[in-house]
Amino acid sequence: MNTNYDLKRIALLLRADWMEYRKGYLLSMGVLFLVWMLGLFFEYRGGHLIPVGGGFWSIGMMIVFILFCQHAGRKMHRSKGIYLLLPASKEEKYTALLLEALAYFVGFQILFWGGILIWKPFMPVHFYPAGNANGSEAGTIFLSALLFLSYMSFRKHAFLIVVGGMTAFAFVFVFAVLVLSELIHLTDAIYYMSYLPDTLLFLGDCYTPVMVISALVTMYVAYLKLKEKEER
Amino acid sequence: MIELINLNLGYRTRKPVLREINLEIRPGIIYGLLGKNGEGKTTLLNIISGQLFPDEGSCRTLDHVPGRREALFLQKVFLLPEEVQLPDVTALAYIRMYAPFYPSFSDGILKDCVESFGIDLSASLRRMSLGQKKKVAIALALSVRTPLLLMDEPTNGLDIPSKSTFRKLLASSLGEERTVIISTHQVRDLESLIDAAIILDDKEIIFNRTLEEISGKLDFRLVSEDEEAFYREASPAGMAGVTVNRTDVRSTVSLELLFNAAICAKNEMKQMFND
Repeated sequence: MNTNYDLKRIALLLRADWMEYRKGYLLSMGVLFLVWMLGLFFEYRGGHLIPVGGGFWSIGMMIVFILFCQHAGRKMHRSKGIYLLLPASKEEKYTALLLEALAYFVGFQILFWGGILIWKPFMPVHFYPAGNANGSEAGTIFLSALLFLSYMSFRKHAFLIVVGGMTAFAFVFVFAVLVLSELIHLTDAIYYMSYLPDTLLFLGDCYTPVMVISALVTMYVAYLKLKEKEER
Repeated sequence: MIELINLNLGYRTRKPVLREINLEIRPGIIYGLLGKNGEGKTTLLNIISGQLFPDEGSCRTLDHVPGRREALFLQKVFLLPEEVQLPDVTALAYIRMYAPFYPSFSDGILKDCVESFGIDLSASLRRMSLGQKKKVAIALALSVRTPLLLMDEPTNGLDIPSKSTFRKLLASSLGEERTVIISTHQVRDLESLIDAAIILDDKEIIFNRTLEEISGKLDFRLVSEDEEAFYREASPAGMAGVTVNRTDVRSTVSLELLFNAAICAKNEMKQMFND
């Protein structure tokens, strides 16, 4: 009998978390639902105040993911003697956390499709949320991995650190491109300009694999962080 | 019960926190873990409970390797940290959250703790003072009835009547197989409870004896100026000191004097207890 994996203990972990975090969970889901209902109302009135359909789905999923990262980060950064010593194995604790991630995801799906179900009778027959297949999935995956790593690494201001880091990176990148363009212009413009578009095209082609690989590397670093927290 | 062999631990600076620790803890005894600030008392409790892994040497607690943190092991150990961080729920919800994890949890002991400490179970933990929070945490620690209970400065934050209540509750919740290790600076708060003293100094364990063994070999009394003593200090009644016990009469062990004697006359004390 595997004494290190017991469904009853997983249920106890989920129950304890529900008792502690339910207020925050219900509040955040409630706010998301209200925003969604408001969005659908404006869609019905033809106001288009917020991006409806795929836009809301993407933004909502990102918000839900950040909420989950906050939740996981709170548990990881708890002082010693509380979470680590709770009588359940590592496997049980990870399973409980995974189920909680599912609860965030499913909760959002329920409010999203529930909202559509409520408003559908009032909408035109062809009303469906817009799709979001615009090729930015790889970037989103990388950003999600980066957010997860940040929440696992920093006790406070994890979101601001990622946003700040990304903004700083964007500034440096744009600045570097501008300086490079200027240098090219001053030196041998014709020679370099004939090569630069190809380079940019190549970088564009590499975007998806680079983002996916970066996301995988980031997730591996997050795993190492979790391992370190577990040991020390 | 607990066995630490040649255990070493250092943090990233490579400065040792614990050095060559050899320790055997027997069941059914209340140990007082004494030491100056930063000597590694909390670290030792964290190793025993499986939160820290030693760099060298081994640690076995209740026939488990604590670092593996198996669920069955964690059901047998409870650590009450010095600074309790409680969730934003009521005291009753807090107990309901964690009690089911411990098969040995006793409603009777919890009821005693709640009544004796005067805990308001419906009150929110967030609105409680440090002392009130500590009482709730102690109530859970005692009522889970784990074979091993580790307490880090349990009386910190408690008022004077609550310290006395804590002593009574701890004494009444003990069984023959329950071992308690209390790390403390407030030796006077717990003097009447402790059965054995472990003293940490300079990252090493320099002393681990029961009070019975101590009182058989050492005498705690008022001493004269010219009398030979391991340690002496002025007290309102005269010069209190620790000397060799050359009679069959056993004096009451003063943990404070014992601690100072063990630090000041480390080698002499070691030699005497090893003979």
